[in-house]
Amino acid sequence: MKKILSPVLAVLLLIICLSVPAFADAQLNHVTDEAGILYDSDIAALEERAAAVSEQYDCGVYIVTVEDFTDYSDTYYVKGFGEELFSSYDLGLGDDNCGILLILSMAERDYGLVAHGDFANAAFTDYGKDALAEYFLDDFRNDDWYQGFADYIDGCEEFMRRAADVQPVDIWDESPDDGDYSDGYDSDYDYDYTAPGFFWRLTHTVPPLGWLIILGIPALIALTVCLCMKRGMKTAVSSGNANLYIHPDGVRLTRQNDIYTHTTVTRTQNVPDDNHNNSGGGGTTVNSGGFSSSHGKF
Amino acid sequence: MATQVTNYQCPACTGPLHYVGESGMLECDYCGSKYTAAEIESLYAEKEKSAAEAKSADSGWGDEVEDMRAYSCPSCGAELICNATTAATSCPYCGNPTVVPAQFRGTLKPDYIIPFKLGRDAAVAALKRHYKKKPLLPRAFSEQNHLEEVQGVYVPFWLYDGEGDVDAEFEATSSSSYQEGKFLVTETRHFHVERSGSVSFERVPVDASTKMPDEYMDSIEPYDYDELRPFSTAYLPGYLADSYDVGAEESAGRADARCRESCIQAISGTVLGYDSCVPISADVRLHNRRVKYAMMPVWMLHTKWNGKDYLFSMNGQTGKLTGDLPVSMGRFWAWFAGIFVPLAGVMMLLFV
Repeated sequence: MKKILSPVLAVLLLIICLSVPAFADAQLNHVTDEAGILYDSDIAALEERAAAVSEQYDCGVYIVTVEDFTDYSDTYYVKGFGEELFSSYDLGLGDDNCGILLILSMAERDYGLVAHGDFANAAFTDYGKDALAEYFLDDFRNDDWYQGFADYIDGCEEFMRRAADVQPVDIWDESPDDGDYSDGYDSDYDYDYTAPGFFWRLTHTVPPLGWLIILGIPALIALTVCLCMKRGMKTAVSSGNANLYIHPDGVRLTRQNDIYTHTTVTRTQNVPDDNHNNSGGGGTTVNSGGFSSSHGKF
Repeated sequence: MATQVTNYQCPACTGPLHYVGESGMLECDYCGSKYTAAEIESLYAEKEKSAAEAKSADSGWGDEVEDMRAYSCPSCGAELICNATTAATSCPYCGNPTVVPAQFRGTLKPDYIIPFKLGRDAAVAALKRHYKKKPLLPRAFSEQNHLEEVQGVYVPFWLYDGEGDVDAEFEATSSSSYQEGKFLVTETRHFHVERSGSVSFERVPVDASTKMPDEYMDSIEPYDYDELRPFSTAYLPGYLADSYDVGAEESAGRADARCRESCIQAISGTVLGYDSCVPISADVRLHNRRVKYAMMPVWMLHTKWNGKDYLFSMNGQTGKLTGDLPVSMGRFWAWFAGIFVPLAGVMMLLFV
């Protein structure tokens, strides 16, 4: 029996070991620089700032850099690796492991943003993640890593403050009255947030397909109702059959023959819905693991 | 040539008698006396006989009016010029209802009649209801209609009995599905289905007058044949009536087409227990055709609006009404906007 169990246990252990990214530390700090792109002093400063923001909102803010995420994971996108890290190292604060992780993979200059937990998913909406990326992407493109991470932490603080005020950054923040995030973030700026009006949102946030649905479906319903009413104006039609005049016992079957000929078989593959992309409207798309994420290049 | 016509006069006061659908009796407008159709029939049997013998000579109008007939009104003596098929009308001078007995002799005599059951008031009320339920109807149309001009007409019908033998073949399928790993597997069993049988028809109606559009007469079917009575001219006073001008053989084509379609539908209905059933072929042989001639009650209104003719007909027995109505495009688009705008508003709220 032992001879059978030993190889099985060995395989199981191997699978477990391979599924957990192998970092030097057993527990990740707020800032983990495996790629070695930051000075120790920078790491300390960022760690302190991230810890403070995390504590303030009870939502962990994390940074991880690696040389090549494919060395650690079989996932196709860096955001998938981020989700694995989040789970493997039990990142996040509170009962629902609330937190946000920025991960940089230097080999292909990939970045990923991964949020987990109710508050983090509310604070970092699909639109919000893209807006947050604008905070740091310009720094990363100039290889100014420290400034990029500093801007990321500042952005996280601002986004979480907005979420705490029940006004999370979302699609309506495109309003010109509310500033342009791509211009950079001013930490001293005191937001006086006002939700944009209905007509502004209507004209700026509805995609072309949305307009097709908004106008097309009512038009189709209205046209159908009107054509039915118009059809009701013509009631004189020729009768094509004499069903009303068949004698009560008038149908007599004299012969019936049912012959089996052949069987056809069709197979249809069930395709799971893997599309977690932004649907175009507001809100946050959360996958079955409780993560919301985005990714891109810097 | 003035031909003999009859208007039924009250035996008590000689006032004109009308058949009243609600009471089922001939009633006098003046003294209120009521008579059954059988009583008046026997009373006038002799009068009709002598009237037929009193045909007068040529009218002298020539061949160009060969489709017209002239009759003398027995009440006021005026000469009535009618269509060759007119069987009952009213005198334009004295207003008395008049019957042309000659239209109902020999092969022209109907076998049955269904008397009017619904009166003029019911017809006018039904037309008003018909207008009310039509939101696209131009307001001016209903206002300019002279509903009181609705006329009761006995329309000639051929009633066909017959049988149809059917041999039909169908392609039928029965399917079941189950999950096999990532695949949904659907198995479809195919069958070749054969059916033979016969279908009996009773009194399939086809209108026998070229004046009546077929679709209008089809649309007010069916009549309740339990109220079919042996024909009597005593039911005619007070209404218009025409004798047939389309023969039974000529009309049989329409009846055959309807029976043929019903034969196929009836046999298709015996193919049960399959998920789909598509007819491949059907051979229908109609035989044992028998035909009867009947007069059916119809209330009719002919009106013109914006240069177009509009006709309404109502089953004088059941009240079933049909008639094409004009459409106001202004009202059409107003309704469109009335539905579209609120719906679009709701959709915008949902999207934003």
